[in-house]
Amino acid sequence: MGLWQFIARRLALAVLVVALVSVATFTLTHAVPGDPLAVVIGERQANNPEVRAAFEKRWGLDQPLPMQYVTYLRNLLHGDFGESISKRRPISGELAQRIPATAELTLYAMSFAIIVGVPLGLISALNHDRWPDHIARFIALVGASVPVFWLGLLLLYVFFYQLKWLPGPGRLDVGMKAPPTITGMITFDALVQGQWDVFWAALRRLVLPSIALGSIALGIIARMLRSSLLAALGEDYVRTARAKGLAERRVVVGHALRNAMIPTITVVGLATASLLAGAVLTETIFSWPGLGSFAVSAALKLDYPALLGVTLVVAVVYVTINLLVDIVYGILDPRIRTS
Amino acid sequence: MGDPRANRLLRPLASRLDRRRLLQTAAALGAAGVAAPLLQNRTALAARQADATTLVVVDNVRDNWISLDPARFYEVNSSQAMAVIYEGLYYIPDGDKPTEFAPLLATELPTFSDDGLEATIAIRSGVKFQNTGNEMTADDWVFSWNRLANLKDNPSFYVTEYITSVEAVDPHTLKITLPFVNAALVPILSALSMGVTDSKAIVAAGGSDGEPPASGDPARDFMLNNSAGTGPFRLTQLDLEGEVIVERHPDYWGEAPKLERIIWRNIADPNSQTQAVEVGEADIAYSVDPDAVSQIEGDANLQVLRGPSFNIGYLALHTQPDPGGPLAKQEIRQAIASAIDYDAILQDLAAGAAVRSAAPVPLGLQGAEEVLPDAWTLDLEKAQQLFDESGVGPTEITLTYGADKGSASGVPLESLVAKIQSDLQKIQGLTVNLEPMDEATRLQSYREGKIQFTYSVWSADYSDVHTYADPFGRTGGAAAKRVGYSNPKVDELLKQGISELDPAKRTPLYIDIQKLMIDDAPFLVIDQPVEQKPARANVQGAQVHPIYMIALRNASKTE
Repeated sequence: MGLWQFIARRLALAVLVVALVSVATFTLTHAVPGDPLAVVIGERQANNPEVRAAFEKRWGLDQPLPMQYVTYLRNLLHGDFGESISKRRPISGELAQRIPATAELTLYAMSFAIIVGVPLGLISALNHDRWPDHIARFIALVGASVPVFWLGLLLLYVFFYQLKWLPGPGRLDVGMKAPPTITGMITFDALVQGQWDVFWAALRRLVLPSIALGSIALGIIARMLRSSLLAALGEDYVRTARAKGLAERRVVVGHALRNAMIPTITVVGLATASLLAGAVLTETIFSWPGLGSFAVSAALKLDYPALLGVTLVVAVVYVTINLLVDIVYGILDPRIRTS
Repeated sequence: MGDPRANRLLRPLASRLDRRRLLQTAAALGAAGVAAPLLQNRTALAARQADATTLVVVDNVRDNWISLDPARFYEVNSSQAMAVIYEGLYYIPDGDKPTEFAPLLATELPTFSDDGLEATIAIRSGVKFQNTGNEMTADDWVFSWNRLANLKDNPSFYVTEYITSVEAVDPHTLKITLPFVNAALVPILSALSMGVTDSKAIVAAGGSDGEPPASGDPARDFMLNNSAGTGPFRLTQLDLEGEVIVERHPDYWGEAPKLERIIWRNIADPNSQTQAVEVGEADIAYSVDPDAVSQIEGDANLQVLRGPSFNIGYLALHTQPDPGGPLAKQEIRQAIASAIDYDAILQDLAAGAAVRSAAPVPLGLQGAEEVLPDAWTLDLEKAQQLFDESGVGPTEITLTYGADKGSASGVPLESLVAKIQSDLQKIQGLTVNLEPMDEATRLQSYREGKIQFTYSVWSADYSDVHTYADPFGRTGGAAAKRVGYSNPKVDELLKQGISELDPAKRTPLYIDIQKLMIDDAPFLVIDQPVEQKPARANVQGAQVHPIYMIALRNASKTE
């Protein structure tokens, strides 16, 4: 099978998965007992049929369920996710604001995880079973096992509250206006438009949440790199390289690390997707206006349209990342394409 | 590897910089990179505090604010902003005296026709709307209230239930026709949703005061992002995830506010809100963990703003055999009322951050203080006696609560219901099961009258006893219906109470109503929070208020 054919098949499968997710989420959210309007209509008007009818009409809840799904799909094809019940705002607008916020946070968290995690894994493997290894492994273990919400609160307590070194929750300083939207990622937009103060403020506010969120991936990356590098260092080709009389640095960087990076890169891909789960907690603690906090409030308030919107976005992200990983594998290892 | 030219250029450099030097430079750069923001953050905090023109309030804006359109607004926390953007005919100048009203955009109290069914109100002249500079006239009031009714959103009942029609007699006189004689008219007209909006601005944005088209109100987005009121501040930014900002209205008719702007900044967690005030990033925090209060009080840079709240948390006991079961018997309800250790809940669990009224009318409203001596108190012997006399024998009841509802007066709901369960099980023969339920489902079932025993909350629609006595006491009232409560004597007294225009004669009627309801025991008030808000010591004139939550009209900051 050619590469393009392979990609086309994967793409078709991906679209099918997203479609199935939309049906499943729609059915599940509507099958859950409970009335989303109960938390929206105030106590006073709860039993007023006129008000209830007006609210039902507003979200199409007066239509039969299959009809609601058809309407939903039709609107979706026009890029309209509907109106959030709990926020009374168009979901497309909410998502447009939140996706870049989460993307920006994830990007910085992942950068932190890689910049710290890779050297940590290297130090560990090269000093196998000596004290630098123990220290590095301890850091990796802590990173991977400390709950994100606890670490987040701790970081805030120490660096924002006690030391006053870094700013607290939020994306920007008090009263600061976000730069005109290009990507929605504030540090990028500010940089491109030369708003240095905004860039600097946004960057500083990214430090603590990125460390909190990145710590999970950091642990995974460091441990993965350590074990695969250790395995590679024991391989025949490394012995050959050493036998050729190559400098140790060239043996490690040029031969062992290159091979050890392949499983690590896979893990980086998967960890990025899994950060979305950590983002739910991080965003709540740092009042970060991202997808995670949106998903939480939508779920708590049984906000069907919002839940559907956020599930679809997350599904698309997962499917895309998996698709990319599949394609990269297909390129790296042609055997996969035929299997 | 790499560009050979670059290598040629770099080689001499590399030879001079050995690895150690390189590492040292990197470490120094890194340290500088870390140190710079540290210094900068402290300077920024100091500058923020020195700025006496901007007041910053931190609140869980994201979860608790929705719309600042008077025709849509029905949230509690955002009242702080509504009260400085929009203005009604009357207002409550002092939060500690919540039943004393003063004219705001009216020039005096209403005059009533002989039958009490027509109220005539003179309104101010020379009042300009924010942004447009349009002059406010009686037509704006007619438009605003008709729009409120026709949008059929949460606050529409202020008009549909209490006002038959409104007309502009002349540009500065309103005539309101009432469906019944209403002693609570002034409190109702003071409600934040009854504020006047700029009819011309809303029409220009596509809106109207008639039935909205099937596609929804065309002015909705305009009213989400702009303000169209007469208040001392106008809305300039509504980002519920970031900040809501209001700025001084330059043509304000009354005394100019001392602040240039007020910013409500979104921080969800109460502890982080308090921290933001402690480090000086914000001036007032909306919420606080009661345990943190004593520490704040010990800090010379901080103060705690305190004041009454009209929210009540209460137990609802279904009075009909289905689904009330044993609770349908008055003796059992009274036994339960006598078995709860209310003081332990208020003092130990809520750390003094709550008080308790005797009937479902919060302290501060008419008659609530007077009936305090009649309140149920812990008396296990009496509880056991009432239980035994009921002849029900060993029985089980189920207490339902919102699992995701969070806390009541700072007490986690799980702890509160566990305490109530253990108190009630001291009655021999009574078993209490706890049933957590997600809040949306619980509310729905409760509203449908399907829950035997539950903990719920209620807040004020306007500052008068009737906003509690009527829904809780009247047969078929919004809350009474949920527990199947009906007492014809209460119904009769409520009719007299709402139509009695003389306050001296009116309060005794509501005292009788509350006494009857205490004895019937369909609702047991557990907590009425005392609002506590951490603030910087240099904040002045901000008042915790039972209707506006934080009254900021007269707020200022010293440098």
